[in-house]
Parts: sequence; structure tokens; C-alpha cells
Amino acid sequence: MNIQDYNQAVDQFSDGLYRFALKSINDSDQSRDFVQDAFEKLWVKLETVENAKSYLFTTVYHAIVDHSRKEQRNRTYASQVEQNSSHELQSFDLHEILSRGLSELSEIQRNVVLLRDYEGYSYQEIGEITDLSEQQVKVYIFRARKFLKEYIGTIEALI
Amino acid sequence: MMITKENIEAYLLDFLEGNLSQFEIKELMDFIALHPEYNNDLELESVPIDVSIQFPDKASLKKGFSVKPKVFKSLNENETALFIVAKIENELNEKEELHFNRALQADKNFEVQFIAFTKTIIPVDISLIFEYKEQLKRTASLAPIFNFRRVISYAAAASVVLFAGYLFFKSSPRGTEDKKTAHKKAFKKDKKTPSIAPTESKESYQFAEELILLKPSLNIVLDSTKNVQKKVIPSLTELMAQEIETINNVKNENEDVALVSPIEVNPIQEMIENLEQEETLTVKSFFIQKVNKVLYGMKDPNEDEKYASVSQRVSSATGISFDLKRRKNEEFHLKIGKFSIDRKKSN
Repeated sequence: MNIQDYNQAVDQFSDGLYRFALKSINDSDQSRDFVQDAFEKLWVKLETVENAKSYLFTTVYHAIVDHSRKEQRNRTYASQVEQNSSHELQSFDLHEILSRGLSELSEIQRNVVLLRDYEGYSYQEIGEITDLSEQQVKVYIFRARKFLKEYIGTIEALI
Repeated sequence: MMITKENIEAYLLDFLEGNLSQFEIKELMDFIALHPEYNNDLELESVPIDVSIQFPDKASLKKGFSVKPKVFKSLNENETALFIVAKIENELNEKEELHFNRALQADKNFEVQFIAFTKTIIPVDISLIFEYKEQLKRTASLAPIFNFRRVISYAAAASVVLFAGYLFFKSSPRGTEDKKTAHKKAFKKDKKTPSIAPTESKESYQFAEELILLKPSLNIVLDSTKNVQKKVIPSLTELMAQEIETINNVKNENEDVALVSPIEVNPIQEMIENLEQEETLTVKSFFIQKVNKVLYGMKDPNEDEKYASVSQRVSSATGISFDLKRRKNEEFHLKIGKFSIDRKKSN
């Protein structure tokens, strides 16, 4: 890669990376940092990286995983609050319900679905990013969709 | 081993499976020549594979989304879900697609399930965009980018500097104290940490001020070029107080003072500790080179490049107009939003 490729990668992938991180951890400042750090790392390894997109998403994914592990300890209270508020939905908004459903997924399910739906990655590519086998990716996607379908159905029924 | 009527069957089996050596085959043939009743056994062949026989439901054994359309009618709830998810994920083959479409038309419940699953596709939220693309971009000479939170903290530090600067200009008029007495006082104070002879140097002061803006957790190291002594100032407030005191009280244009920022603390501290070995490089030039490289990505940027780089980054990161300049008449001009500081050259 050269500088032009790098700058092109900024234009092409920074939005997608940011969305992926933001939807995954729901923290805009942290997501920005992840994106910036990923590009920092890409810059350092400019000459050795062949597939910038894959490298960037892998880097952000690992940052998300690390972040989630650190945050896990503090999550109990926050998740309780989130759960309580999820029953306070007054209007039907599929996008909103889906976002809430997404946050209820396990971290790995959420990430594979986001990589699939946002970026259209193949199972193999998702597997490479997340260190999972293709079959595992399929299973996680299937379980995530099944959960989301049931989640949407439940909320719709409540409303 | 001799072939006998007791072990002939084992030999025949090994022969059919091709496990006998040439010698053993010859021995076996000799034995059969003597005992022709075993001749028929030699003609036994392995059972041919009937390729026409196949397991009828191979697809159902596989993991993942492949569900054989033939068995659709008997799919349970989970298998139906698999089939639909496979459709959503574009995993169905042509035959399965055909079957899927038929099922969709024929089975109302199947259609309901399908619609429910299509709602699980996460739409791309195009309103979410990364606003700092331009900061991430590089030119050959552009320095590494700053961490977002770090830059925000720089802005906060800048506010502190502004405020401190404001207080300084308002309440501490320069040159009111007797210079000689002040210098003695400062030197006396610094006897506790010998070899330090801090002086005002416009260039280094401005340089340090700029570094403070960029690095709020700055630890200033004051040292002379020959006698190295670390003096770490723990907080920005204390740093500003000492800086102001130094500038108010000490004036000695002939002394060379390096005001440096341990951007990378360990290498710089290590460098200080090993400085005796660095005979050819003065502390100041080393640090300036180091800081130039870290902050600007340039070995030896000119002043305009430095200030332009700082201003551009802080502005784009904070959204606040930020303009740091040193003009030809050696005024120091810093403007943040509506606020500005102009410092004229002291004579």
C-alpha cells in the first residue's frame, strides 16, 4: 500500500468501521478512538498490509472484544437499567426495536451479524476477522437471526 | 511360515487384499496346485461398490443451512427457520430456491415466518458517518494523528493555558522586580537541584507553551546543555506557576535552556539517564528533533509548518477555531474561538 491507497481506505472504510464499532459497543467516543487507532496501526504497517479492509475490521473487532471484556465488570447495573427501559417502549419503531434486540445479543453474535449485514462479508471473511470457523459463523448468524426474530415478535406483541 | 490347511484362509484373504509378497504368492500358488479344492477361493473378488446406492437424505445430515427441499413438508420449526435463514443469507441453491418459492406461495405460516425473519436484517444506518476522515489522511510529511480523547484533552489544556495566561497578563506585570535580585533568588532556589539555570528564552518558552497545548500531562524538564538535571513538575497548574515565575524573575538571554516534553516518557528519560554517552548531541537538539518527529512527523519543520499543523488538528478535532501563529515581528498570537492572546516581544 502507498499513501494514496491509505487515504483511499480512509474514505472507503472509516464510516463502516465507525458504524460497526458504534453499533457494537454503543459508545461514540470510544468508537472514534477504535477507528483512529486502527488507521494508526495500518499506517505503521502500510508496507506489509495487503488487504486494508480486512486488516482494519480485524483490528477494530479485537479492540471491541478487549473493550467489552474490560467493561463486563461494570455491566451488571447498566444492563439492568437497559432491561427495565426496554419494556417502556411506547411506539412501534422497527429500527429502534432492532437496535435494542441487537444489544441483547451476545457480543459475538452481534459482531458477526453486523459484519454480515453492514459490510456483506462472506462467512469465510467473517471467520478470518473473528477467528471462528465458517460453520461457527453460520451458527452464530442463525442463532442471532432467530433471537432477533423472536425479540421483534415479542415486542410487537407487547405493543 | 508354511502354508497349511489350517492357515490357508488367512493366506487367501491376504492374497485378495494384496498383502502378500511375491515369494508368498508363489508359495500360495504351489499350495493350491497341490490342493485344487482351494482354487475357487482364488477367484473371489471384493464386493463391487454400487454407486447407484446413495444415502437418501445426505443434505439433512449436514450442518448449516442446507436443507433438502424434498423433505420440506416434514421440516420441524427449527429446520424451517434454517431454511428461511438460508434464503435470507443467499445460501440456497437453484433447486432449493424453487422449492422455497413454492412453499412461500402455498403455506401462509411459512410466509409469515419468512417476513418475520426478513425484519432481522440490520439496515445500514447511513446517518452514522465518521467525521474525522480528513484528520486520518496523510501526506508524506504529515505527522501521526491524535487520539480523539487526547485531542479533546488538549483543548481543555488550552483553556487552562488561556486562563492562566489571562491571569498572568492581568495581574503580573513583567519587569517589576529587580532583575538581579530575582536571578539570585531563582538561582538560590535551584541550588537544591544543582546545575539548573533556568532562563527565559523566547523560543523555548513558546515552544514549551505549544507543547503544553498538545500534551496536558506534560512534565517539563529544565536542563542546561552540559549539566543535566531533571526537574519534573507534576501538574499543569504548578507548571504554569513556575513558568510564570521563571519568566518574571529570570532573564538571561545567554543561557541555553531546553524546555522539552517527554512525549514518550521512557525513551526520553532513558535518554537523559544515558546522556553522558551522547557527546555529539546536545540535550536540546535531541529533544527538539524528537518532539518534531513525534508531533509533526518531520525531522526539521519550520515554524510555520509547526503552528499550522497544531492549529489545523486542534481546530478539526474540537470544532473550535484555533489559530496559533508566530508572526514575523515575533509576536506570539494564539486565538481560540473568540478569545485571543497576543504577546509582544519583550525587550
